[in-house]
Amino acid sequence: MSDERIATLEPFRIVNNTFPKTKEIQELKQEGKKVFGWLCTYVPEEIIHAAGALPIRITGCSEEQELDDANAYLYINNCSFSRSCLQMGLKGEYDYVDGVIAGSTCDGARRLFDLWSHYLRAPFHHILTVPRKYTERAHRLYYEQVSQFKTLLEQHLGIEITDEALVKSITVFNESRELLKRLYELRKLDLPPITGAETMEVLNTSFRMPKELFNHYLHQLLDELAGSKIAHPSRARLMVTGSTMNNPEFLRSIEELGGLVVTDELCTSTRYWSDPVVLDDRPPLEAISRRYLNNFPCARMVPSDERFDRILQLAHDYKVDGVISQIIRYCVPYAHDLPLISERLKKAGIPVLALDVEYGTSGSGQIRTRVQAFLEMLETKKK
Amino acid sequence: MKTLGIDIGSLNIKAVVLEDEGISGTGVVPLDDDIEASARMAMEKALDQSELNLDGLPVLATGVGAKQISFTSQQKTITTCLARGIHHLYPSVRMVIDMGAESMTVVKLNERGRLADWANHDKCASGTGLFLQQMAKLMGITLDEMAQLSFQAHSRADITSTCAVFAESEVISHVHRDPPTPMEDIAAGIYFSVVSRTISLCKRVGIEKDIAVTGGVALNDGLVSILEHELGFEVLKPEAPQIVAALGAAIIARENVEKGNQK
Amino acid sequence: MPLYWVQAEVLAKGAELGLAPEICSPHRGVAGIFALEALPHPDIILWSNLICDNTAKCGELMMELSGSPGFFLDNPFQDSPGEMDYLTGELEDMVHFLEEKSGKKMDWDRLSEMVALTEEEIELHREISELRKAVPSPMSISGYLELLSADYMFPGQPEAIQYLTQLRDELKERVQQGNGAVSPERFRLMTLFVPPMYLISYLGRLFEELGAVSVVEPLFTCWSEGKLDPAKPLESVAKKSFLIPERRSMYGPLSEQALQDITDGAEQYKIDGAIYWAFMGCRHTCATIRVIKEILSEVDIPMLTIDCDIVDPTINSEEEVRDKLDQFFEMLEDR
Repeated sequence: MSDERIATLEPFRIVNNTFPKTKEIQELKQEGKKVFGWLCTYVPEEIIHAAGALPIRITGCSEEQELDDANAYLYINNCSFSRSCLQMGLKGEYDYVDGVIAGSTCDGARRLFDLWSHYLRAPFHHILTVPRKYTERAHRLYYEQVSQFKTLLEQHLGIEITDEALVKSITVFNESRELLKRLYELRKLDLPPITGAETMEVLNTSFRMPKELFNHYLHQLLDELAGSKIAHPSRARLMVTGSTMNNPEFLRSIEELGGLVVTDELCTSTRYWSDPVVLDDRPPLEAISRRYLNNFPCARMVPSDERFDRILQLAHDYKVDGVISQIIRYCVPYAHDLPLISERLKKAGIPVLALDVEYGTSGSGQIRTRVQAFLEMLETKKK
Repeated sequence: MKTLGIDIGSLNIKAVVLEDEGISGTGVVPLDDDIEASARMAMEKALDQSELNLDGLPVLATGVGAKQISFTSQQKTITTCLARGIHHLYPSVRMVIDMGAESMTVVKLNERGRLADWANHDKCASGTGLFLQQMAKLMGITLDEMAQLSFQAHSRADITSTCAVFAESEVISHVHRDPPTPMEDIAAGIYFSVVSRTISLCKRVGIEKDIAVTGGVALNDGLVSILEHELGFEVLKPEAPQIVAALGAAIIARENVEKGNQK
Repeated sequence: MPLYWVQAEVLAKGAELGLAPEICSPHRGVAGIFALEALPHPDIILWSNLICDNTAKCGELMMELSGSPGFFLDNPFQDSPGEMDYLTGELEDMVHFLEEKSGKKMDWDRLSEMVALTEEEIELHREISELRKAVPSPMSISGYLELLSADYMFPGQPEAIQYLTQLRDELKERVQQGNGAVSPERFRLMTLFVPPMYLISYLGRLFEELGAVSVVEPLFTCWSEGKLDPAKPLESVAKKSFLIPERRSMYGPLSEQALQDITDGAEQYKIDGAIYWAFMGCRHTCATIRVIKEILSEVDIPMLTIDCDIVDPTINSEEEVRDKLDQFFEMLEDR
């Protein structure tokens, strides 16, 4: 692993180090801007943006923390992601948000939302019903839900969210998606100029600051990488799949052992940016609704083959040697899929290392030992 | 009126004789294979102090082994007894942290001193007296030395595992590290890990002041001082923390006589 | 599917498939049963997401293990007209799927009849709930589990009506005569979730000895307000899934109304205490333990929580459960 540093990563790091109480967010708040927290990738951010507010993603503490209060409220058998988010909420880390919006995506997310509304009482709370299918009927229901959310937000803020504003927001968000796609293209190279951990640092900021500023920083990064001589060789090219995860240190601990994470199927990464909103002849709100339901799916969606196929495609496109599946304990949607996806990857000749983790883990000794053995196995296989 | 309360713990048996003026005798003896004989020894010790004998004295038993003794049919669970015992000593107490040899129990009292809620770690060895004993043994010191060391700690060794088995291996690695983690810091680290689990148990029922500590582990001033530091306030420490449940048992025996429903 | 007889072998098979221990044991068991081919080979697999992620996710593995075709019924999260239409549409698709796979035509008249019977059945459930408000409570200690079985096994069928009618009449008589399930009735309980299946008969004996009886179960026996219409059979089937007791507190959003209903129930049924059987596999119900405990404590009702597994008998022993109940009943007595 080369030690060369990418200078333009610095602004991203500053944002991550101070989130949720970043200076930019606090300044915007003082200027009177509303800030809304969202809990799941099925919440259409463009609508919040078009309302003139700042959407930020509520995440837990991306390192292991004491979850005492959250354990008492959510009980110990809800996933550590939802407990970690609630813990931060209870500690007042998100006390500045003007509202919280969730989707009925999984049991953990909906109960986190329930308790957040019950105990933390932001001025605005809303949860969208998200169908689990892609049928036309499901699209109609989801569109209705998205429209209702837009109306409620308009009423709450006393404003109108125009089609023009939506189109503008779509353009900004699509630019982010396009830039992130360019960043990911670089990871397809035989010797990528950026590691998985560094990429995750970039992605973490994508939902923690104004998108316009993020796009600006990302342009700088891509410019630097274009002229950079940094090239990361590796023992094996890896893909990370499974539960929500946004801790760069976890990836760093894998990469320190010589594996290079070149792609992923995470809702904080690929599943977050991968599909643009397609503005053809549909009204913008409908285009948004289509994109969010059709986006690279979460394990909650049925049939799962849609997701499995996309994972296999990614593994092919990024020339992946092995997959590390990291599943948070009690993350039922992903845990149920493990036997099915492992089978499919194995058939495609891609070994899978299945790790049970807690949200925020940075890779314990036990995890390192298993990753080490996995890398050795992959190397032997390549010879 | 005179009654006797007996608490059959997993390591020690505690007996208390209660008279109208208050406690007149106590007895604490280690438990051996014969529970019945050890219990009788504890009672005799307490009775000797009170210059009384067992004849006709109402006895009420509590603790894990209460069902195994034959000389009384009156029993109450440890939580009820702890609540009664502590309310007698300190009427202001709303929460008791009982740290025994093999269990940790948090008891909540209402404003009338009655049991309102409780929580316990009953399937987990970490945070109990035996756990501390085991840790001291690993470090090659006594429990007293461990307490003294903890006061001189400059920082705390990280002991993050919530399981006694894994915590043990963490302590071993601190001891054998090169250079080894200072003993003071390991002691403080062990106490801190116990305290953080104690506090999380308290949070399950909701922390409320005043708090008293009971049970044999409450005698460990090193641990109690870290507990107070983490709670952010002082806790009440009975002079003889290990006999509070037995005292509660004696009080309930007295109430039963007064209610006239003695069996 | 009755899984009361789940055995170590079945759970071990589930684990062998790669299912994590955090997946709830009944669902690990279902997968195990399929893998062991312990049930007759299914022609078709139908599943839905009511009531949790586990139910939503178990079907595809079953399809893969059995090689059978399947249909997933997507049951929406909230109760709105749009979601009602969506569910009705889903049911329509399911009917088409079944017609296609079975080669038979849907008998709409028969469905209408069943809807009419279901309406009658729900009414009987409500009447029985009313009768259980009587002091002493007339219905046997674990009778509520039989109430559940009536709907789980014979929904909208004459067997359920016959059973529930008989039960109602008997309860009426007992209320008039002042006969209680236990005598003397010392503790009236609210049961949240259900106790481990392998402890049911033990708990029956224990409660009888202690004079304790469950009188209300908000998560399982309290039906929501609303009527079914035999003239609109498919809409009515959709509607039923919004009326069932399990939906409100376990599946849908945790509304202030649902919480209010629990404290109202505590008052109307004159309960002394509540017992929450915290089934560790059921994450989304456990997430409400603290809230429910708090709202009950506001009306001065204590709640005992017992961590358990409803089908895996290696988790709780009778002694341990007895210990907890002893402490709890002592506390109730002491108040």
